[in-house]
Amino acid sequence: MDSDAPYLPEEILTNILSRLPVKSLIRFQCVCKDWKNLFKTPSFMAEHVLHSTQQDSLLLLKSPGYKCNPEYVRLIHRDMQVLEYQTPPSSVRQRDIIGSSNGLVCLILMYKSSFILWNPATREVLRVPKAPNLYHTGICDLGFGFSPIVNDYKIVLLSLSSLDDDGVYLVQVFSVSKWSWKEVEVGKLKGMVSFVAPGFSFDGAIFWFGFGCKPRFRASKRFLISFDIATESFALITIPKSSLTSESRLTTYDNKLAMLSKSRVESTESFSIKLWVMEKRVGTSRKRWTWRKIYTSNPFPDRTYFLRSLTIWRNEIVIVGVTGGETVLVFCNLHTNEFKMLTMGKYSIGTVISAIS
Amino acid sequence: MSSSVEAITVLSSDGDEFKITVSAAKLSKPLNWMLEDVCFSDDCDEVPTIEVNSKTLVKVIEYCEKHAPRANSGASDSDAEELKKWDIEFMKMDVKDILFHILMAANYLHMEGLYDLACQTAADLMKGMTVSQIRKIFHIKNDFSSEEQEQLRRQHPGCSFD
Repeated sequence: MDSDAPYLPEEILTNILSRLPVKSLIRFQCVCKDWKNLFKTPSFMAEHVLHSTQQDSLLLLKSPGYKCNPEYVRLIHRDMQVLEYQTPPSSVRQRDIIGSSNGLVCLILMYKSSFILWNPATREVLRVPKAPNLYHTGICDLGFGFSPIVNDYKIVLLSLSSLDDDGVYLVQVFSVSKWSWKEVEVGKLKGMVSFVAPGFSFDGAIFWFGFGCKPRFRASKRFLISFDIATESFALITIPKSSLTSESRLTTYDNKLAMLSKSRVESTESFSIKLWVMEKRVGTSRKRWTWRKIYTSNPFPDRTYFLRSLTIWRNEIVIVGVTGGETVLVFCNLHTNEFKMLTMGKYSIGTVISAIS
Repeated sequence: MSSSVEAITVLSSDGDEFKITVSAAKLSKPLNWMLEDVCFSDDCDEVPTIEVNSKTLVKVIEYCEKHAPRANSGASDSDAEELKKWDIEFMKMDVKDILFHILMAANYLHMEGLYDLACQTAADLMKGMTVSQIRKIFHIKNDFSSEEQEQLRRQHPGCSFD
């Protein structure tokens, strides 16, 4: 009866499937083994994320506090509707989010030092084997990211031999495609820097804010530490002094690494949000990177407590705040300079939300 | 290229003749190459064949002719809005009868716009289908053993293999 329907080449079929919503993907795992396996591959997940980004949704993940709260995954649709996304599997609750990349979320159960990979698109939960070596100080710093070059996700784990000045880093990397841990050279960072975890993943690398903790560096010296996921090597990138505050956050803008920072508006009590982008300088050998401040917001709205900036979504900076006892998302439009608020319900103050756009 | 040529004749895989305007053919690289071949060739009697059946080629040419003015000159927002509505109407077709053929044709003719549109349409249609309907149109056999089905059911309560 249906013999007239042609067999579609794999490339076309994959393109169609990657446009299906999560709900359909979960249903269609039951079609056949090939499809079930396809939905788990990094390249398919990357394509799926690409298409769902085009559909313009923002996924919000709320890190749980001491009490288990199952309602921490929300989806914000482009028409600003807050949707219940799905209830995360129980094994995912009460975890801290390390990061997300290409649709895969990496979480950690801190007191057990164990990692979990969660794919919200297929609801799959994978338990990562424990890192073979850890100093008694435990896990100091973490990062998670994806590199299209090697088509692999990696978890980076740093442990410090001692908290004294002579402590050295032990760096271990978990490759999702090889499903194993491996020790890598810390290189020129050797115990001279501290990381501000967790890392932010972008363009095949993981970035952390870092500061010098050895006499060689002045204590105030701050920079970005980058880890190339493909080559497994670290590098330091300078950042403009004025850009860094404790509320600084890495994000992406215009396909570039970007930084959001909060700074006081002169001689007032209010502050504004600044946006910096990092650009590759062509033709110079010494300083390959340069930062450019491209936006300064209007003063932040009154009577709204600033928690943290999250990300940039559809030309708006997204900030978590609290007003009148309720968690709100504050959207600051880069074109019109207007602030807009979206109430997220009565979460407790101090709730941390990370966003995947 | 002679500017006097406004349309060329092509053959479908079934051997039927079709006319396509020069500006519309520009939407597809392979079609554009064919057109240049025809225009520069001394032997103008040769009619190129496109490996797409007549039923599908009619639709592909219809799409090209509609989209050509915008692709060649750029368009205002209201035109883009109108074109979007036209695309939705244009894509109201049966998956197995024609949509899959259009997908293959758009892929073969390197027509990004049509390919994108057809993939999205197929995905939108699939959302409303059951697992067994999906297997039928994609010619897929259920290869899960009963134990594997049981395990999947445990992981995803409510999932269905039919």
